[in-house]
Amino acid sequence: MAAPNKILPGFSASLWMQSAATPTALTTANLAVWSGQVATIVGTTANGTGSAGVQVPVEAVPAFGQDDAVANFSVAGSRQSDKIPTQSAPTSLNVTAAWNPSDTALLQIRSDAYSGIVDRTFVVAAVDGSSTVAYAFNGRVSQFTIDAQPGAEAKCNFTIHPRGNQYGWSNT
Amino acid sequence: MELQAALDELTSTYKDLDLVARGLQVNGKEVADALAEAESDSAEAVALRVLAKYNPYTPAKK
Repeated sequence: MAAPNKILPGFSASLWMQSAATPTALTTANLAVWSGQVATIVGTTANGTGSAGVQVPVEAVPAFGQDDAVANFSVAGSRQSDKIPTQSAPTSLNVTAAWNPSDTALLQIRSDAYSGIVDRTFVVAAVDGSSTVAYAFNGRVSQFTIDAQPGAEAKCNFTIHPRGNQYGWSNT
Repeated sequence: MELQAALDELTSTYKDLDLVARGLQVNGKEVADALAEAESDSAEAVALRVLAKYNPYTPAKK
């Protein structure tokens, strides 16, 4: 997977997703293609076209990447043991958003969580002026909860579980 | 394997591109030539870059 060839001195990040109720997730190769692929999911505020995507109103874009596991081996006679990275899992994204029962994206997310089998392409877009670096991945949503305690603004929480190996970087 | 067939497989798969490309043996020169002409921001270019990793081509010295 080619690394992005842009450097953004300072940026704001946003989360986008395919808007269709039953989307066709981008293939692994297309997840690394901005023009006509990732750009269609990212809205115009992040330099995309937004023709097939909608912004997810998250409080903050959560950490994404991989959860590495290691195997620890003791080596006879050696002061230090050996630590070998093993197969890793993609990091699940735990998201908190202000709960708006009329928000298109949140309703779609809730619907996906009820289903549990909808593969959807999500994009984390880092924007600085006219430059965007996008991390696109396919994932499924689960663990959707609504926290409507009276002492604070109602929030919804959900988790996006990325599918293994289905990610790509692109930029404009 | 025909380069076009390899490209079709790589651009349509949801699997790990590295894993798939390791099993696709194609002509390294064809890959290098196609990569030189490919639009860089395209699925074909992404696939060709992965193919080039496992099917390297070094021009002969004159």
